[in-house]
Amino acid sequence: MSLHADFTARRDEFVLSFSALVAPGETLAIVGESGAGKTTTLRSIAGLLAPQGGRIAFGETVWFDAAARRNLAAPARDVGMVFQRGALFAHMSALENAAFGLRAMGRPAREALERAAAALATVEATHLRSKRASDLSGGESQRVALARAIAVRPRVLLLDEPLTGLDARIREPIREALHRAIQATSAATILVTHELKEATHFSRRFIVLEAGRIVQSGDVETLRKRPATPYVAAFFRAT
Amino acid sequence: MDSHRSADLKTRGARIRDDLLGWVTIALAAAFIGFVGVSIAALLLRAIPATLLAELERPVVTQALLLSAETTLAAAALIVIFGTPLAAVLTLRFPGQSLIETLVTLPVVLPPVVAGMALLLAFGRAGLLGRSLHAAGIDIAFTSIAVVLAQVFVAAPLYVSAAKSAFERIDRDVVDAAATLRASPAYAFVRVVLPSALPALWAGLGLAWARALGEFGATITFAGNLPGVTQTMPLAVYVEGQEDLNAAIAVSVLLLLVSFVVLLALRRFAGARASST
Repeated sequence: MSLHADFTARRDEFVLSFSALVAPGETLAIVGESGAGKTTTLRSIAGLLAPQGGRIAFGETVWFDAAARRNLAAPARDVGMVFQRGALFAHMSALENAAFGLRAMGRPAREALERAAAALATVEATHLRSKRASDLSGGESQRVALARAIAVRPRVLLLDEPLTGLDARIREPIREALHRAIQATSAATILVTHELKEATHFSRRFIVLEAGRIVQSGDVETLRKRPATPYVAAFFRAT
Repeated sequence: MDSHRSADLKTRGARIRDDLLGWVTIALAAAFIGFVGVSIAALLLRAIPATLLAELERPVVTQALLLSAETTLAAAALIVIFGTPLAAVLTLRFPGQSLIETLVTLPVVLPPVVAGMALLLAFGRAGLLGRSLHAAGIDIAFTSIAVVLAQVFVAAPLYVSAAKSAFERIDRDVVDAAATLRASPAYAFVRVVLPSALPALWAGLGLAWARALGEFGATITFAGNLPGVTQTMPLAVYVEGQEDLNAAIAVSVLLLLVSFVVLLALRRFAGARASST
């Protein structure tokens, strides 16, 4: 089942207009400068803010439909989301963080903890399991945040600049963990980033946002050879 | 380097002005510390440990002490039970939100005697609700329950304000993360928001409890001054002060110590929790 998002969302400075189809197992990269509407796109899909118009559906399930006045609440959408700065539950251990979603779904504690442990293993964070989230470093937090998102086995995975703000030294291993996480879920994945290296590492299909509008989309060759805007040219030049 | 250079450029007059400002600041601060310090010292100096203990064993004192402990604990429980959901609701945006918030925090600035008057006119035998309650055989005014209600009325806003600002300080992304992890708003509140706000909730409760412990004006107006029933420690201090100054001093010192310990514990607790997150 594919994610089909086609909507507009009002922001302070502009109206975001977004449209994309993401197949299961595929990773779509959204690139653009900060303030271009990337996070707004993810938050709209996750159900954390209400779009203004259009439609968002996953397979047969309609998540948002302005015409039908339908707006499914975030907990009812089959998503996993990784936030820019981890957004872990500081008072819980890494394992409790990873088990949170399954507990919220009402799964028995034993099963939740087992699956949480497996998710931590997927991103090579088993050694962190009993550490308090508030004691984790930036890279460790991001590993746990990944494990937490994939533990519920979401069929749509939303990644909001998961490597931004991390030290260059630890970015490589975390990128590897991210790779494993994406493969483990085989979800329809949207990766928001403003770094080319990150974008090309995970994705062959790109959408470029500028001031809330999709200025160009396609594979890396097209975007490099026939950039529609100076920003696209600058972004895809340096490989 | 920069600060050094700018110091060199200052005129003599400016330096004298800066020195003067510095000394005036210190002198004013010292004067205030002295004002509070002298008053507390005067109380402690008059309290002779031996008589203090003897005074504390007098029935009038033990009754007041016990009553204060019981009523303030009951008040604290009610404040948490009703104040926590109220604080959560006040973080939402809805029509009339600011009006309701002003209403429930009003008792902080209201003279306690006025609060007592309002309670009396609401729950007294001839009051707005009191009349029907009296007809049903329930009398609240001038009972221990009135003491608790007076304390809740006056002290709850301190807890509610602390809880509300604690809830508002929680990272929006963390609450959103809970929502994407299938947590209903209620589940997220109990499992994520409440635990994150806990240190601030304790601090707010401590303040509210201390305020309830010191309640005088609303209590004497709404609950009266009946030994063993409504005569709490502050009331006992006032009444005993008319006849037996030593007893009043003993209770005062006790109240002072309790307040001091509560404040110290709160600062320690809040500080320790703040540095661990």
